Amino acid sequence: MSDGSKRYKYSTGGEPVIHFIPPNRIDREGLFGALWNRLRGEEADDLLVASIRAHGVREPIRLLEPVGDDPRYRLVSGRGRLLAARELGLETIPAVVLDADEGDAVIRGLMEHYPDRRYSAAQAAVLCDLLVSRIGVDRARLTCEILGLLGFSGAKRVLDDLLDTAGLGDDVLMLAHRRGYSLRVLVRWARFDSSDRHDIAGLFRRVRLGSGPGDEVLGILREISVRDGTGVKDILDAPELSLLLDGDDEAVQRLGEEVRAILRSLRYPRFTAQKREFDRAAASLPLPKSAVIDHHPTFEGGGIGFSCRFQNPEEMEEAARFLRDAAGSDAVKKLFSLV
Amino acid sequence: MEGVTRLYILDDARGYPLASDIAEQLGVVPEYVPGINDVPASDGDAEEVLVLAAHRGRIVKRCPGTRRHICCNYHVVNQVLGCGLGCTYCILQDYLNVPGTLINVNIEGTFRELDRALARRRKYIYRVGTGELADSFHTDELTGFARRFVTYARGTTGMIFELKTKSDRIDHILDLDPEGRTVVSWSLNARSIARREERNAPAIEARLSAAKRAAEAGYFIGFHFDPLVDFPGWEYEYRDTVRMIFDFVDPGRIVWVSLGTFRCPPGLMRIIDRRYPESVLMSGESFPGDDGKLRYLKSIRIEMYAHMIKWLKEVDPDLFVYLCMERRDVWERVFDPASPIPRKNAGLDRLFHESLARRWMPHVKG
Repeated sequence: MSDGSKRYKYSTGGEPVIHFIPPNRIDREGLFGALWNRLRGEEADDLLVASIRAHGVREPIRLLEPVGDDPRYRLVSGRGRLLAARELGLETIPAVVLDADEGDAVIRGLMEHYPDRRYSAAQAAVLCDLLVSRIGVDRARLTCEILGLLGFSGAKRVLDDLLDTAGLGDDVLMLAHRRGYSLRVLVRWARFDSSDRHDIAGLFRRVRLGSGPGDEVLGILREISVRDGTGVKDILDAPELSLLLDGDDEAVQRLGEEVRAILRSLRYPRFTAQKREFDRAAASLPLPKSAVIDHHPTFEGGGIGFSCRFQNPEEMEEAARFLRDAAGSDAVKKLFSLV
Repeated sequence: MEGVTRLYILDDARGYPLASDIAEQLGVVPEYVPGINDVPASDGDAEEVLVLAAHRGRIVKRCPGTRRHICCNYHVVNQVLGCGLGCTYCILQDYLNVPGTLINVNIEGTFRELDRALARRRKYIYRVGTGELADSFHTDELTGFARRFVTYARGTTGMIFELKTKSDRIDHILDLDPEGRTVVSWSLNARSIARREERNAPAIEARLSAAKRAAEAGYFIGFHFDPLVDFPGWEYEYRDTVRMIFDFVDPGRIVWVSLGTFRCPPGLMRIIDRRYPESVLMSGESFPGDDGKLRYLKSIRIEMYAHMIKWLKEVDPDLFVYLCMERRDVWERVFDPASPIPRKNAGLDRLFHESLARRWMPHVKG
């Protein structure tokens, strides 16, 4: 072949024809290159490099024919293998050249991964954005045919959410992709303005939070921000939080639960104050050993709880004495006034 | 009702004069469809879609109430479903599965059902109204239902009919003598909440001015502070609204005032979060209650109710103020210990009856 590619008939009867193409004849940006660059960076994956060094490229990559003045093939899928092949200096890489337009190629590329591949919400967002804004895939087609392949429900709203979140910025999307954040988290994140988004990214980089806790934190930040008319930075500058977040990085990574607790107390000041008051009043009582006084978790149910585990009859008597003596005390009156 | 661009008439509603009347008034060519499931989902503003149907089965229902909360045994007539006022907190966003506003055009069937309900022996006055799943006046210029209900109520005994609204367009019923049997009630709120969260509804002053006209025309009046919203400065704003009530309406004409703090199922909270992320409703201190709905922290509710009751009773100690869907322990904390506290739903029904016997029955004609 004049272009340097070797073409072998790998099999007949409708099976794909495998080409062996020099890696430098392939535009690694291709259809998805920019997308994966945004989420994964441009370095080859070490494990994949080692595997290809040992076994070669076992699965052909997918390409589209060159178009226009650019003589290079356009990459559809197999970017990781292509980067590894380049790093290893392979002369050629096996490839299937698809006879399809870009939209079809994308669908076929996705179908080949289906159903094993799991796409993160960040990947899906960037992918959908690419398909709509660059390739011009019709939204209805995207909703009906492609969202399912990405593992998302084929609802118009889901596509809208994905497209909304595609504008979050590469740093946020890359972080969200690495952490596997759900679409719900990204949708919440996208509702903040760009400065707030950046501050949130700073927090999320420092504090390890999964999708559920991350969703809660974003919700709380939003609600405080609306309530107080402040930006995220002002919230994170609260003394309790900034003290916590000033530590060294590794320690901070472990503090997700504490950060959430502080944010909850800022979000629910009345509840927090009531709980503190209750705990203070309970602590002032000479409780018998192993006894606990508590309240309904949200103070919704009335009354106070008293529980105790006895090891012997004397402890029972002690508890009975306590209940009799404490019933009229100011601390107990205080407890009842709080529930 | 303005802005309707798509009108669907279900097969059941064909042939009802009101259906063709409405089509003519709107100047919209109707599309006839076999059933509600054949109405295409709205891809734009649901306000633009009107569906005319003829209900089958029961249309008068007891308010479903909610677990472990005291309900007043009110009955609702679901003649219209959906409302175009677009209030942020509206439960209909989560509750209705209709791609627009639905009007049941067969009102005669409703009257027959009410006749049957009234024929049963009842211990307490039967309270029933149309404002649960719709605003009683929002579509009334098209349907004329309010006049029909006022006229129907005049011929009944043992019933008080309520038209519940935020509208100020109620003048078309003022020439009727309700003979004391219809209450027109307004949903009220703090001014800033009305402005921010009830965007398409008239201002509070306009509602109260309409209430004044209704009272002067012989209607009894009710007010509903539901939802009471917790926001910085609520004390001043709600007190203002309470004061304004009595600038417009003689307390002697007011048969009831309900109070209910903002509450909603978690699904509705998600809808509000999505549609109105700047809503003040999102930032209250709400927690799930025994019925799964989110409610403000109990101490906040108690504080709000206690203030409202104090301000209302300062003007008329005999004013009938009740809590909508609240726990008994909250009732106990906000009302005077000497006041009767309902233990269950029937207890509140009885309190209504006793108050109406004092404040309303002596003024009813016939």
